[in-house]
Amino acid sequence: MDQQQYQQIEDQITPPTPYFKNVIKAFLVGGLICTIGHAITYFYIIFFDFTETTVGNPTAATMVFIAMILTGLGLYRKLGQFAGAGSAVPVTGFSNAVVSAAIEHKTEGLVLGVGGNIFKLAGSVIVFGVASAFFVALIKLILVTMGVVEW
Amino acid sequence: MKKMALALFCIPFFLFGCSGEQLVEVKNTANAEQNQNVEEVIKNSNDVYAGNAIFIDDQLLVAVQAKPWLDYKKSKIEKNLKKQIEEKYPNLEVFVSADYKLYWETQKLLEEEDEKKVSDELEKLKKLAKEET
Amino acid sequence: MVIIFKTKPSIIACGAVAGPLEKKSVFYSYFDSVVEDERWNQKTNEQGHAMMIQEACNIIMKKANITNNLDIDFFLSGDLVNQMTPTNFAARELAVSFIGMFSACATSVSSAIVASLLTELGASKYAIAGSSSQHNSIERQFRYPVDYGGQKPETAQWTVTAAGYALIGKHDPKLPSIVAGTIGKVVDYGEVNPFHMGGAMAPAAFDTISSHLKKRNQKITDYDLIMTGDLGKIGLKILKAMFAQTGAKQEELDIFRDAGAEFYGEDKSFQSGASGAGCSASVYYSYIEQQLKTGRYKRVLLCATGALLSPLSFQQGQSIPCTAHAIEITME
Repeated sequence: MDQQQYQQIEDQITPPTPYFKNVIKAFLVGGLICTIGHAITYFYIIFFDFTETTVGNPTAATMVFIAMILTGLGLYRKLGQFAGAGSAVPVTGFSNAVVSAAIEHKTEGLVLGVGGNIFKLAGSVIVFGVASAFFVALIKLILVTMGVVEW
Repeated sequence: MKKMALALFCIPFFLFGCSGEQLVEVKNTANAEQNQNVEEVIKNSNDVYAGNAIFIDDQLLVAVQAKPWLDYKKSKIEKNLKKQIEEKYPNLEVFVSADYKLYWETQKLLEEEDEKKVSDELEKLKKLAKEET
Repeated sequence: MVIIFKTKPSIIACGAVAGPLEKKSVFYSYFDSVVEDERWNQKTNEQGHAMMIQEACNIIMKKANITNNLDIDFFLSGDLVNQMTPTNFAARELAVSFIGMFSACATSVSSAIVASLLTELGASKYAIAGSSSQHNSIERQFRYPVDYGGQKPETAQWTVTAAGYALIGKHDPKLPSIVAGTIGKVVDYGEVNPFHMGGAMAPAAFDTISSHLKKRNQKITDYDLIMTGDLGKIGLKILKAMFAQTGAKQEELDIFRDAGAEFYGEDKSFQSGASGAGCSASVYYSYIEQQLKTGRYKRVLLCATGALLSPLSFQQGQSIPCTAHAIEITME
């Protein structure tokens, strides 16, 4: 049996990835997480002195904190298996990536273990986040200079 | 079960249906004519679904809420409204904001009787709105 | 390459231990001991992993009435952690002649083949062979941190926390005996998805099983059971489809079973089933050995499969080379 024949058998038997189902699940769970985030936003606006411009920080911090607790309890992993991108894309997914790496490497000590590995997964998010932010800002600057849009 | 899901699904559409007319409330201690002007300006703006206006001393604070899909051009809406209102009240110091915090707080101030308190609160809100982080 | 063991070395005693999650396993009642703490009350996962190996060896010595470590001639074992430190550390405590073996998840069988060879040579009276894996330390080695919420596809498998070891010695007609073994070659059909090990390893299993049957001049039906190591539910289906294409009938295909596919029963949360060096080892050296002893099976072929990848190799875009080793065990 050659490679091509085998590939055929394998493709036949391997169940296809249920993209549609995954998208729906990601949409619902991701939407739910964002709704919770919005509720927290309103909570901070109404009960504390935050405006829409300044409320982002405490809201993100709260979401990160909640995801941290869930990760520690091993629940975020289960949510991730169900929701996929729905739980990975919001800031809670970033928190999960950071905290899970920290827990994992605790046994190698604080400096080389936790410190050295905490951004093992989240590091690329930061790198590409900063890089893409730079380019988006550059494009906007050019457009503003040309007078196409305003700041 | 299916019926309930359908009902839940439809609720948002009914809610949208209610907000055809802009809700504008004005707090003014003295002049009724002044009220009319600012109410008109807000009502004539197509991008806004609700607004509060408060006159105190020589100041006018207007807090509006942009329609859901127009949230992204809030600062433009603020600028436009400010220009229009300033035309009508050249003597007043006009402050316009589309921030929900200001809308929420002005809602409370509408019922406030004590002028001193209103004035203090306004100063505080203006300061808050200027904060960036 | 088939090796025929003329002296028929016997499996004298077996020891299988497992972690807390493995209580869900359908083979749970066959294990010798299950520990409540995944880390065996140690500080790190890797230390717990080493403790698990030691415990399995202690169980074997108790069963075989061996009181002195030094009565054991050889210790042949392997695991999946970098440089196999858990095995090396367990060997330090055991303090007997030791060779670390690595054929990934096929180590359970490759070590038994080497132990049988040493016994056949007359160099060994008692040799302990087997392998183990610990979920947390293997997952971090090959994939993401344990608590990371990534979505695994249906083809993914769950690394077990388990160890299975066998004491191999001189032939005893009352015990299961190893009559032949096949050392497989490395087969690579170009699978690159590390979440589809079953698909990567099935060709290796197919190659080893069919060459064993051919060289031994046997048919599938000569066996009561042909059990692969950790192909998983999907990998087993692929293997059966490959044999079906070469003309095997349904009753022949029913002889095939897979330890990984059955390990956690029908529980969907483990996706395609179990995997890891401890998966095949703990099933072979508990359930299968006991079934042979009771006489339910007379002749079985155990074919453990191993994916020879590292995180480095698949990140660099290499496909996954796989191997499979097989031993034929009979009971008189």
